[in-house]
Amino acid sequence: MRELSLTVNGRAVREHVDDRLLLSDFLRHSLGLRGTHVGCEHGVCGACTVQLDGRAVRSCLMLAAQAEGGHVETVESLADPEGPLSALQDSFRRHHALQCGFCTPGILMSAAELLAVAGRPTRREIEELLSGHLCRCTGYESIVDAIAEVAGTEA
Amino acid sequence: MATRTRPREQAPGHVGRSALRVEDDALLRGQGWFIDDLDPLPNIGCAAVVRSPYAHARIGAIDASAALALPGVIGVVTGADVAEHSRPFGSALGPGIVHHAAAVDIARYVGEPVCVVVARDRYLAEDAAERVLVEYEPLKVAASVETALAEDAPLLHPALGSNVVSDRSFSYGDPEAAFASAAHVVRERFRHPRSSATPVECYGVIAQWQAGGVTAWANFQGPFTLHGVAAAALGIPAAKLRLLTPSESGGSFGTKAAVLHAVVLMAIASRCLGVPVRWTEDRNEHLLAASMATERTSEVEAAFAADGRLLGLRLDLLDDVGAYVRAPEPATLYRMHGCLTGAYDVQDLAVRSRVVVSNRSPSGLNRGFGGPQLYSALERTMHIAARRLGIDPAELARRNLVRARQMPYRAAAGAVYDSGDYEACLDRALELAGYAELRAEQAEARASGRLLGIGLACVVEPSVSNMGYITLVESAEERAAGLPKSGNAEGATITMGAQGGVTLRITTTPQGQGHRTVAAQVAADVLGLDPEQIDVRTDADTAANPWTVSSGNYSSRFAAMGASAVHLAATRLAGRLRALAAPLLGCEPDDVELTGGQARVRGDEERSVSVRRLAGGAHWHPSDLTGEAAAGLALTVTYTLPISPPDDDDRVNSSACYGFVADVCVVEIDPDTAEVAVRSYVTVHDAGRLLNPLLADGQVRGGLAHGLGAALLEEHRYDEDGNLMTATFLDYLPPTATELPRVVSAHLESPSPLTPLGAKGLGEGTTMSAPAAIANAVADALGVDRVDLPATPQRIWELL
Amino acid sequence: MKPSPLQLERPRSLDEALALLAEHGDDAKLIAGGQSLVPLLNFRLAAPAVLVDLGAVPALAGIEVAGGAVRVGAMCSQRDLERHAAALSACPLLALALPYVGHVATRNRGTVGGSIAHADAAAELPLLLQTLAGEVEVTGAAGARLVTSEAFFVSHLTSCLEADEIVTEVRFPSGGAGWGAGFAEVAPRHGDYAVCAVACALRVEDGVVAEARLGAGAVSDRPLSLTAAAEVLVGSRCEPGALEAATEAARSAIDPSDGMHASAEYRRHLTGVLVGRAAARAYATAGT
Repeated sequence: MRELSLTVNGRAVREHVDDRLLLSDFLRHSLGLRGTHVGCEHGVCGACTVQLDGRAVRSCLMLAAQAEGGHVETVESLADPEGPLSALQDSFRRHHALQCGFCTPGILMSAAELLAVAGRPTRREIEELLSGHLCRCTGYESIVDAIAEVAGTEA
Repeated sequence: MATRTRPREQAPGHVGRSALRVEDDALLRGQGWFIDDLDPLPNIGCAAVVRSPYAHARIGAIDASAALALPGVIGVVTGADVAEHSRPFGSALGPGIVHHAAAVDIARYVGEPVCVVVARDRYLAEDAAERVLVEYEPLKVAASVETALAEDAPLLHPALGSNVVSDRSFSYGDPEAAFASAAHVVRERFRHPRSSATPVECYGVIAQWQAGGVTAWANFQGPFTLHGVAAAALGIPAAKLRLLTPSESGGSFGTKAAVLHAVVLMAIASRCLGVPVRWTEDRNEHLLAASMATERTSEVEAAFAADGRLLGLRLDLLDDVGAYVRAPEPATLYRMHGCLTGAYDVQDLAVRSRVVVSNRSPSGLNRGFGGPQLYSALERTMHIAARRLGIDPAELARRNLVRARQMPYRAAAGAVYDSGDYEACLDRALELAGYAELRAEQAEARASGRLLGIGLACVVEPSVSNMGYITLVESAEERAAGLPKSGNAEGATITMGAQGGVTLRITTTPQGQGHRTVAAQVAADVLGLDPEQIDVRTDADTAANPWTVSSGNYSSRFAAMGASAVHLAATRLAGRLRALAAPLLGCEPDDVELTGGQARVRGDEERSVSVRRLAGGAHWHPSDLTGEAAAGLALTVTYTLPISPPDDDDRVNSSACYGFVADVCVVEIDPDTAEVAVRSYVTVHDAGRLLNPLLADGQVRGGLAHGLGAALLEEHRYDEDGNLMTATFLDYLPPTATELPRVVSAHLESPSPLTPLGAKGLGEGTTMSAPAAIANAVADALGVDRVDLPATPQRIWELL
Repeated sequence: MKPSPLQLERPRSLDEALALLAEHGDDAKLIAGGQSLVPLLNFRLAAPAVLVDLGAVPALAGIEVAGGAVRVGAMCSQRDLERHAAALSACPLLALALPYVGHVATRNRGTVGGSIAHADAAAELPLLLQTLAGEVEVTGAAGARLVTSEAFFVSHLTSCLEADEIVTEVRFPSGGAGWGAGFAEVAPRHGDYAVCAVACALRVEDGVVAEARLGAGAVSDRPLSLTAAAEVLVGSRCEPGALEAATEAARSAIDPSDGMHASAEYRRHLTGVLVGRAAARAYATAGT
């Protein structure tokens, strides 16, 4: 057991956590941020992806305590709860880039990092980014389209 | 019936539009409510399951003392508890197969539940589970079809005397004559391996035993026949099993039918320990023990005339269902029965359908459900035949496709194809693919040593299962002695509040198919409202929802059943509104039309009253109402599609509606590394009237990804001791974005005459077609007949 | 799938980390990025009583190009290395191979030192280090020492590290002028563990190969230097005959095992194919 201090979605957080508590479980069950989903707990499906200090990371592959002092952003940070969807989220909606929505938050957090890094990714680069995420619903093409539109990628 | 869109009403409406989804806002914000997000009760214990490490073993003493000694552990429930508090699950193949929610005396597959440990949280429960000591006496293992069939095979269910637990033969027309007159007979064996659809969200259950009944939450997808199976296993009346589903489910593709068996197990744990029990399945458990598609071994004999006309078919189909025949199995084997002849006009058919058990995890619904298994054999046979007969595969298909003028077409084994123009679909697919140019390019490529292949598949995609088809597992005499099963039904409840807002409740348990959006489109058209004014609730509650045993989201039934139930409910409500409006407008109810939120006299727009006003009046001033107007603005309907049970000749229309898919796939194989690249994929789909083309296309593409996975990447493999070698995502390999080609998808619409909107179900077609199309393309590239699935680089290298 | 109970230590300095390892001995395991270790913890295939997290130790994450090598601090993320222009320019093989290492999210956390220490025979960074004959700086209670790649990789998932030692720096030799690089990998899907991978670096002078480095991964229990095959290329112009001969030499030199996704024979065949491709690319990019 230890005291953990970090920033989550811009808010200072201090909680007691078990040393072995996974970051994914900390976010979901200690903080009630249920937008981050758990699909495999071995880092392959990508559903649990959040951002730590601006970098997309698998929250199932981190102990919460390893995020000490860091800035974690989850899918809940992409839009104000009372406000409109972000451009990225809106693009997903228009392209039908989600069906069950379970893999979506993880993909949004990865895509958000890609968009924040300067430059215009190619379609192939978006596909390679997405290869770290499993989706069983969409067949991926609509997701690539959604990200490509916001990224200004050539068709 | 013309293959175009021919809407019943000429005015454009919401149905048929690519409306964006109402579901998306919450999902994109991470505000969906999935099963693991729910916390509906206080004091919920968390379960971890102790599972058999042996594929076949007698279970001896269980010592849970070390587990119970850990702080935070609430209790441990064993097979003995399960046997005491439940009956075996009912099975289509009778009581000889004893299947409990946990292994009682004998474990029959690696991963079978043996004990349930409940603790304050999952971490503690896993700590305790590791400390439970179970004595096992390993038994001989039959972990493959071959070993299960062997003379000296260990019997999984000795009461049945064989591991072949069902063996039925069928004959339609005169197959002997057809084969006798054939100019060519093509005979091939095929194996369709085990796979699973692996939704990204695993199973989740919260179960509470209280006062002789159970309240349970689970991400269940139907069919609700399993509700009765679960209640019977628990030994309680069905009305005492209250089942709730969360508003969101993270994908199912059939697999979350079997979550009800876990509901039974956790309900027993709750009963024994006096707390509600939550079980959140992890990925390892899911791959090990949730639900896999059957392994199918097929022998196909196809009799052809000299000109390529298909004269007759003999099919020998063997499904391995794993260690138990878990309901609704052996449905995988019979789901396609009526349309075993696929898209081809052939009336002479012989079928042998066998079910074998093996020491592997139980099979169940998986997207395509019998279709991938059938077509990876049938469509491969057609491709092989084309090669041997020297006829282009597209031409061979064309010579044999059921014609549009033959619709409705009675297939040999009883399916009635309701509508379709298969030739038009095939033509469109060939046109979009540039087929002639592709063949020319292939000739050039071959000359320069490139391995370019073109594969076709033509599949009939059934939707809306006839609940009676499973009774084919019995003989006609046995069926006559029992109660008949047939048809399919769905319920819908619709209410209009005092301010004119509409709420719909349906039990279609969606997992991303957009039912709330489409249902609102359907109701909006009927009621003359905007979809935003219609709130659709899809979270189910057996105590409150309208539901039937056929409710749920399987065999692609929403567009034909769910949408039709909504249509019927909205139509009845519209009748009430017309009855309310008529006296106010001074006309007959039949002269009232509902449009733009108004009820108005047809042909006289000035005479109108708002629907909102009608609703207010009905709620606030009901004493003034008579006749239908007084019946109120809340009603429940059941929409039924009547489909007959099997007849005495074992013919059955196994589904209500039949769509069609024609695919053209191009692959290129690297001659040095044997890697396969799918260069392009064209799929043309006819699923009747499309309610929402955007969502329909999403289903086609998602289904194709599942099919491509089965074709190239996905296979569950067991070693000879029955250990699953693909129990993590490091070894079981669903496709990712880099494995999928850009897909060209087109739709034709041959409305179904059977449904009020002309819609048929869709969502499984490309899962059925893609394994065949891709395997055909690989075979074409290599110039071989035999291509084993999945066509991995290893397998292809062995063929080079 | 949750980890067993553990005690997490987050030392603030290298000395503190070393002291913890000395104190706990075999009960302790180091965690760097955790991308390889945490799955093992979640599966309970590893259950160390004590986890020593290097994430809070400063000054282990730098990258420097000096002394003929790209010197990478052990805690440098794979992603940071992937985006370090000077490092990639000095050692082009890094630019070619790093995109194959898992996925962006795992490279964001996964460390260079961690990958080397994990010593997976199918991993790209160990392959590169072995191919280039790099070095590993290992720090123990007695101080730091340099270990050759050849000595460091003992067997699959086994390095020469003692229980009380930490990888503190990884050094990838950088070639300079005249060097070209080639990398080829076959994996079931993009980002998966390699079924076969080959790395090649060639120094070309006036069109003739003057020095050659060649290595293969996933074909043995450790990353392999294909020295005989590399020798074949020296003095050649990587013409088809030379590539053929190198391919044959590589195939003869290895003894791969059967695996889930590839048989031994298929791996042997692939090694040859990928040697040809990697060498051709290295030759083509030398001097550019």
